[in-house]
Order: sequence, then structure tokens, then C-alpha cells
Amino acid sequence: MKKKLPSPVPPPFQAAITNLINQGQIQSLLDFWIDERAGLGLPDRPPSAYSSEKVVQQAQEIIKELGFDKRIKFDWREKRLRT
Amino acid sequence: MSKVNPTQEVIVFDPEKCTGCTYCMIACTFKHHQSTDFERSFIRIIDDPESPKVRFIAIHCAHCDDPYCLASCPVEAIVKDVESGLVKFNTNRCIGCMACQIACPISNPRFDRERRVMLKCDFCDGDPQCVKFCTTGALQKMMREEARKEFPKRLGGE
Amino acid sequence: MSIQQKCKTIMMFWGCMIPTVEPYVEKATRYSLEKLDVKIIEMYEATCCPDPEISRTMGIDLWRTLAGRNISIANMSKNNICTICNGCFDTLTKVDSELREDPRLSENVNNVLKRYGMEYDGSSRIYHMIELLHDTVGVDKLKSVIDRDLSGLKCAPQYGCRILREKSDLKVKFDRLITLIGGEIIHTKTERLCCGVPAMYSNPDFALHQRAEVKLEDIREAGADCIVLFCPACAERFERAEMALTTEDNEFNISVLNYLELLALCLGALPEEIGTHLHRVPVDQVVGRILKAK
Repeated sequence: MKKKLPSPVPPPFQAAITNLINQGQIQSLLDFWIDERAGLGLPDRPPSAYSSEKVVQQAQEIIKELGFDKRIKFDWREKRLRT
Repeated sequence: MSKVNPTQEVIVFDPEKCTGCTYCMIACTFKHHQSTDFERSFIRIIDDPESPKVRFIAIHCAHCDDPYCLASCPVEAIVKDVESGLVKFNTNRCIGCMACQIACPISNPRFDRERRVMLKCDFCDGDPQCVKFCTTGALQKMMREEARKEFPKRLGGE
Repeated sequence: MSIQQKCKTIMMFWGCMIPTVEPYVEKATRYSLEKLDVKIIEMYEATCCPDPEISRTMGIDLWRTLAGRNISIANMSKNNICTICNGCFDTLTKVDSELREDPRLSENVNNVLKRYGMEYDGSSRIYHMIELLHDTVGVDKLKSVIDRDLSGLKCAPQYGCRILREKSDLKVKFDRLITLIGGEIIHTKTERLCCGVPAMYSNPDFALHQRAEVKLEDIREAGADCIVLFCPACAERFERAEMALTTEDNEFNISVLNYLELLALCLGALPEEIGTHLHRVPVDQVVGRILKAK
């Protein structure tokens, strides 16, 4: 029924899914905003996965345990989806 | 003639709750085509800005009790499953003649250019993705009988 | 009554968009909650909620497990959660009710979480910021602490699809919060219409012209001074759309403000203190009017 596609993740979803796996968050934090956050007196990195490598690692282990990485063909060495 | 199943589940749309977010169409497209191109969705949300009360209309297969599409198919590619009540298309038999689309009162079956066959809602094996992903609860799954009672109310009756 | 007793505490789930592209909303929230005696507890171990569209579509198990993990952080520290983003609210409340109702699902999630010493137990309540302000802080308290009000500023509310869910009374409370700080609500024909975020994944032109543009034109025609919202995704969509649609002879210059920015200004914040200059579409005119109000 389904035609084989290069990646199981449709192109409009790819950036968000790649970010989720690499950073534990779908949205990237740009340097511009790190500076602006500091200028507003906020911690330069938000208090969440954005500032904790341990949290990101935990999310990545969960991703592996659930087999999500294999299902969407994520290349851990290249840190991106195989397309 | 197929047997009518009163407990058959159907998709029911409440236009007053729809915001036109289109995610039902994207979820359907992803499920059936692994794509996000909502032009290929089996449910279509039609925008009618001139409508005085409701802006949106949902076009989707009603899995009719006595389907016109089935009656029109020259190669018996369409069956109505007695147990589930679902109207199913056999893509192995379909010749893409579009007779089903012409016969359907809402022209629901669509010719898929990639597969060169007619396709339509398969109710996602009982777990319709459009209902699951509807952001506001405008799309619901309910039994045909329940839906029949609900509809006149929505049309302004008792 | 001691200060500790007077303070309400809430674990904030900031999500991804507010801290990374709209930090002025984070700042305004911190300012406002402090003034309202609500103590913020940070959720340092939070990941993405994850989003109810892409992540949920691609991997419902992962979506449920990561959301369950986020909720478990509040469960274990005996806190309630508050979120401003409609998407985060949708994911967290949906997963919370799924895990409460289906022991099989909560067992699956807990099987994954236990190796990190975490457990989902469903003991926390998840609030939308609308509920926290309207119900927990309360309308009387809000009314009594504002320094200045909006003096009839014409506000077009953008509710966002995900709080227009069945049986949700968030829309009514949102309206009440606007009038409470002196805003005049401008209802438009298209106020239920989606801003176009989900359609962006399928057809960006459709999202721009059939959703955002239709709404922006309607809001402009209705004579609103600004769009008021909570959802950061709607805010981002409107501002980007205004930039894309503005031409020499068709200017879209409608300020898009988060309710929490308006509230912070009413509670005495200075615009530069909460970073209103960081908006893509300038909000100076609206902010200037608020500052002049008594």
C-alpha cells in the first residue's frame, strides 16, 4: 500500500525530530537569544534540557529504548536523519 | 444487499467546534501516504467564509449502509464488511475508472495519481487518525445510531 | 500569616518556544507572578513536552513517555504544573488523562522511568496560565494589585485551537482576564479560525494566505489595537505572517502581545525591563498608550 520513501520522516517534520533527538527539545536555541536572555536578566540558557547534558542523555536513552531512533532511521554518528 | 449494523462506528463532524487547523488532514495523509501534503488526505475540511453560521464543512466517507460506490463499481473492488460496516476498497482490483467518485453523493473517493487507483477513508482500522488528532474535538467517533440522533439537533431540530 | 503561607507555589513548564524565541514573555511572567505572590519552582529536568503534532504523529509511545517523564518531575516533588503554551498544555493534559485512565499505559511509561528513579503517579494538577491567574490567584486579587489598566485598549483575543477543546471554559476565563485589566474585547468573525501553524507543515502558502492573512485582515477591519494571546506559537505565526504580507501599499502593523506582557505592564513593569522591544512587529504604540493610562 505504501510507497517506499527515503526517510520515514516527512521533510517538514525533519528539523523538529532531529532537534528532539539531539537536544531533547524541538526548538533550537540560537546564540542571538542566549545574549538577549542574559540582557533581560534571565539565565542565559533556559532551566531545562537546554542547560543540562544529563537530561538530554536521559531523553536519548529513552528514544533508544523505545526503538524510535531505528524506526525513523536516525544516524547517531552524524547526529541526523538518514535521508 | 448488505445488512445494516446499528452499532457501526462512524466519524461525526461538529462545524461549530472546527477551527480549520487542518491537522486532521495532515494526520490522515501521514498515516496513509507518509507525507504531510494534505491534498492527499481522505478527509477534507472545506472553507466556506460566506456561510453565515459555520465556516467549515468536513467531507469524509460515511461508510453508507447501502453504498452507491459499491453499486457502481464495474470490477467488484468495493465491499461492505458485514461485521464492521466499513466500506473497503480493494486496490488490487480497482482499475481507477472513477465510477465510484461519480456515484458517491459527496464525490468522496479520489483518484491517487501515484498509485493510479481510487482511494478513500479506511477508518484506520477502527482508530481514525483524524479524530485522534483533532485539536478541538470537532471530529468524533460514535455509533451510527447515536449519530443519527445527534444530527437533527445540530441542524436546529429537537 | 507568614510570607511562606501567603505565597502560592507552582512548577513552571516553560516549553520550548517561550524561552528560545519569546524570552520577553518569560520575563513578563516572572515579573507578574512575583508581584502576585506566586513562587516559581523550576523544572530543571524538563525535556520538550513534546509537541502534540510532529512528535505525537511520528512516535506516540515516545511522546507519551517523555510527557509522562515531565509530569513525573512534578509528581515526585509534590508540585502542580503551570504552562503558558497551548501546545504544552495539550500534550501534558492529554497524556496525564491517558495515564490516569489506562493502567496499562502508565505501567509502560513507569517501566521506562523507573531506571532513572522516576515515577508517574498522577498526583499533580496541570494548569494553563489562564487558570492559574483566574482561579488560583483569583480575579479579586488581580484587580486589587494592578497599578494601571489598559483604559479601553481594543484587544482582539487569539484563543488558539487547543484551548477551544470540548467543555473547556478557558475561553470565557481568557475574556474575563482581558476585561479585568481594562481591555475592551473586540470579537471578530474569524476569532475561532486557526492561526495556521499546523498547515505550515503541509502548505506554507495556504497557511499564510488562507489562515493568518484572513485573520489579520479581519482584526484590522474590526479596528483592534492589538492581538492578545497566550500561545507562543500563534504569536510567532502572526508576527512572521505580518512581515511576509506587508507591502508598500498594504501594511500590517498589528501588535501581537502576550497577555502576560500586558499584565506585567499593568503591574508596574517598565517596557525595557520585560523586553517588549524584542518583538518582530513593534509594540511601542500600544505600550505607550498603556504607560499613559492611569
